Amino acid sequence: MKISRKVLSGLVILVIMGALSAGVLIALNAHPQKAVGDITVVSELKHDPAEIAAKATPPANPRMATGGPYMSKEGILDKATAAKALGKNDKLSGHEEAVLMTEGEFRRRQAMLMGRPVKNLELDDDKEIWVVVLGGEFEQTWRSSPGDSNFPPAKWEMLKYDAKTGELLGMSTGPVDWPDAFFKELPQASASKN
Amino acid sequence: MRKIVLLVLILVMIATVQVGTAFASYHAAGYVNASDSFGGGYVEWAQLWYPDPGSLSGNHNNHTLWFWTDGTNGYSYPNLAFVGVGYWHGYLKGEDWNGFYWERMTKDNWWDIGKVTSVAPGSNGTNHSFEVVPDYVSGYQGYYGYIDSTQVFQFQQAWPSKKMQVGLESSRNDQALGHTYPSYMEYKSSGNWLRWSYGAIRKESNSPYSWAWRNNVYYLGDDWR
Repeated sequence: MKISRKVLSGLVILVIMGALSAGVLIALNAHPQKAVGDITVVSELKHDPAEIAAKATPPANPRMATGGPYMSKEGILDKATAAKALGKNDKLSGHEEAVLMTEGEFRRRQAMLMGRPVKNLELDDDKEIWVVVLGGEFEQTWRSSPGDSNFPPAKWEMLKYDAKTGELLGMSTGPVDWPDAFFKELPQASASKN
Repeated sequence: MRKIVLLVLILVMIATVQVGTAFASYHAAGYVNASDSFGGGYVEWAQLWYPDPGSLSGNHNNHTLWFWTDGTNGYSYPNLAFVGVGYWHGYLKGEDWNGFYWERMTKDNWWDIGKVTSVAPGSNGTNHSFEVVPDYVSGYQGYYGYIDSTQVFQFQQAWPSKKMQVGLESSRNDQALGHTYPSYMEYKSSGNWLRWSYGAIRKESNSPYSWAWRNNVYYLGDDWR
């Protein structure tokens, strides 16, 4: 049987293509399913976790207690409820609180709200913050999450602002209808530092 | 002549199948499989300043190391609880935040997010390290978070941790981000810090070159579990 040059060169190209794709396939499949056996232990590590833990200290706060002047309560509530601070589908109920406190007190109150131990927290941050709690319906789909971000709307949001500059420092929410426990009297033991 | 045509057809089919299989076969690169609980996670990546996602429209991007907590290992509440450290650009309650942040969600659905002001991302493309370590916090189970060796959080939150992930998210469906993978990863297992030492770090399950638009977030992630 006589094979024309064109057919022959076509065949050669196809064989080369096949070989190349097989090569790619082999290379990709070479990645192990289980990596544990391929792990290099300790001596080649780039970081020293013990050293990091030993050296690391809570970050120094450049805005420690200043004694004011603080943003006014009206000013901080205006900022928290401004249209640009709300999500597209957020709705305010009109139920709102704004309380001036230190970061340390905030964390103790937050622990109390969450039903966690309060008195043993090692807190010494006396930065002043405005804590604003807004009631209503707040969409949560914008959160970051390693899984679903399809969280149902929250019934309240708690926003933390630098008391002097009004810069937003963080926010939180939770499963209860309103964070009453946050505003209760702190346990006596936590009145002192820690 | 018929035989030749048949042979050509068969070769074409083989080549097509092989190429197709090659592009669909992404295995475990970037996938650290540890059978026990994690005692820590450490990641380095070159932080890109992703384009402004339109923070005034409520959008943001984030690039994050997440560390599952409370013994959870799922993707939906109530089997999803975590702490995380990473980079955030865009909407955060009326402000345009372009910097590092921390986040946590507990098993009982308490959620917190905070700006990190003690460490800055620096210039575009600068390498940074992110670490989460379970340890006692004032005598209770908890987690410590570090960025560039600076502690950025400490929380009392239950052990164990069964899964970690590094992921990119964008809340804009028209803005997939660049494909950025951790340049280096370690995890702690059975008391030892172990290094992921195999080649390029890529997504474990789906095609690493595909983003998923899911639940209003454009999402790309690498799991270690």
